[in-house]
Amino acid sequence: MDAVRTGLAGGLLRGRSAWAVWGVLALVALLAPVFASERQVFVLMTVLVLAVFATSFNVILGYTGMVSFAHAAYYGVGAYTVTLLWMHLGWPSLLGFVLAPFVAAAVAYVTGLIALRAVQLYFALLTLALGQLLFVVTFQWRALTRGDDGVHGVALPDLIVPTTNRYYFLVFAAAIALAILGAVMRSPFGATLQAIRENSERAGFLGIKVKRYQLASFTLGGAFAGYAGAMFVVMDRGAFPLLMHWTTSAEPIFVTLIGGLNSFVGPTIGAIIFVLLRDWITRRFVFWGLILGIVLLVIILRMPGGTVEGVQRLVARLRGRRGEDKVAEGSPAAAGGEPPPEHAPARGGEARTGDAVEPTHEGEAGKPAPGGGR
Amino acid sequence: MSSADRGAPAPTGRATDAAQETTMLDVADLHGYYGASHVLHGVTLQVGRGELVALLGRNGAGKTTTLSAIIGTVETRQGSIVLEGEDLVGHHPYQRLRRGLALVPSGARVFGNLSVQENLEVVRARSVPPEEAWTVKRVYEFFPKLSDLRASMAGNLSGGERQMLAVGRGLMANPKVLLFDEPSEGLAPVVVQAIGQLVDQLKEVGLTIVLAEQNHRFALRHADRAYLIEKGQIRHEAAAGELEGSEALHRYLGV
Repeated sequence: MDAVRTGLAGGLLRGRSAWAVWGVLALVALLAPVFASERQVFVLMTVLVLAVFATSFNVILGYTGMVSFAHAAYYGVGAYTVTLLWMHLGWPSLLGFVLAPFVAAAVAYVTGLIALRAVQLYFALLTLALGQLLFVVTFQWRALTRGDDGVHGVALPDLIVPTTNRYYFLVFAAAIALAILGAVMRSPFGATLQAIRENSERAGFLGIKVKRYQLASFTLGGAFAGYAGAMFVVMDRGAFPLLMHWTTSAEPIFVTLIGGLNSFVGPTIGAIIFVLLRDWITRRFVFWGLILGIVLLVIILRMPGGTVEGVQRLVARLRGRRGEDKVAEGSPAAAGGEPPPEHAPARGGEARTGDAVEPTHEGEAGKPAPGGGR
Repeated sequence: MSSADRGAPAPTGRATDAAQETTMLDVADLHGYYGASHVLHGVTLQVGRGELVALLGRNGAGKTTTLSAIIGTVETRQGSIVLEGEDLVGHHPYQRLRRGLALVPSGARVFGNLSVQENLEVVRARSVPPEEAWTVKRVYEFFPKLSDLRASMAGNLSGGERQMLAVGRGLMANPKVLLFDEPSEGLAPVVVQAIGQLVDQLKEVGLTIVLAEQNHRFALRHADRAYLIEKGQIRHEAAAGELEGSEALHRYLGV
């Protein structure tokens, strides 16, 4: 309503610096195929899919403060929407692609309605049960899904069959998804979700019907998980039940924790780090799982707020500033009241809100943080 | 409305017939519980339209609990909370807000990770005719200081600014009755003075206010009438002007 808003997303990375990060990511994403091999381009596609998947998950975890283990189920629903419509009805895969988020949203809405009868841990357990239920149905209903064999060889439009074209299609798809989610999270609706996360009781006496917003968040996250699932089909040209297994839900959790759940870019950065790191390690080590686990453990332990916060803190320290965290909390005088030092370059909001949020991801160069490099 | 010198008239401050026609909030025999422990033992109080009523008591006497029970975040098992003829018992907090209550919590708990403006936008208000409605713009006109800070993270505000934001957020609900919990708590004397002006400002707008305070001097300077609460029960009620230095104040607040 009012002209001025900041580029705000969640936690620390707001405003100009966030846009700079997106700009760099977009540039790298667009130029990558020029330098990367076909195999590497395929790895980057994985990054794009996971970035959208994890960002959709962070709507629920980071913004609303709920832990869901059903997220992979909606991812799978999206993937199967494309593949089954193609296999059984001969519908073009792009039509399935467009429908996927809506089908996933419907499924997320219904399961969310049930899971939200409980709170906290019990909510998480219900999502686990419901997600596994969807998995088992997919796994066992062979007539519909071909069970464990999966569906393969989905026909794509000729234009996006070549790897590079497919890559750009996914860059474009990811950009749209992230732009929409970014805009929604920046709206009063996004602020409301964060208010619920911070203190749901207080949100209640501010007139917010907490459950309804939680359900909306859950549905929105589920919709874009489905969208990510459809992106997966474009990349992989197939779908299989394991996509829906609850262990697949661990991936966005990991990725979000690595990148940081307090900022909108966090999961995207996490996806970049996670995929590139996994790719690099699996090609060099036999016991790659062990190495990967240790590296992730170190990242999470050393940078509790994720890489985004970790790097920001580092930058702040290098600039000789006090932690720049939230020193503010208690005392009135502290924290330099009015002109918030760093990330609140006030004004200029309209321009920012208008612009599209740019896509994801990153070349082998691995700009953010540790591990990435050679 | 609200005459500034209303403390003087109202002889005993009883909610008598005059007050009854204009009773805004009528709380009767309210029993509140934290789980199994019984903490409010039949609180009864009335607030007239446009009146500023102070709820005074020592730390732990039940002031915050009373306000929480009225807004609905503390469980009540007996008693009634009637707002302009409508009983609110059994309604969720968000429903009570939409019927005209708003709480400004103690310690001005705002959402630190949201900007000032977002803190205001988060409220889902009671619907009122547009000309009566509080909008972000109107809150900024009311508190020009907040307008300058709109893009700042609320966690970076000073104590006084935060209190201002918490009140602005309360106003965004378009309340009939504003429940104001310990606004002077933990603030420097200069800031408390500013909060006092703010309270007067709110009164001028015609709001009905319940002001829970430990700082009786501060509260009585602005209130029309006061209730003294101890151990979850109202012990005394009087016009604000009569209380200062009184025996009751000494007995229940230890001053």
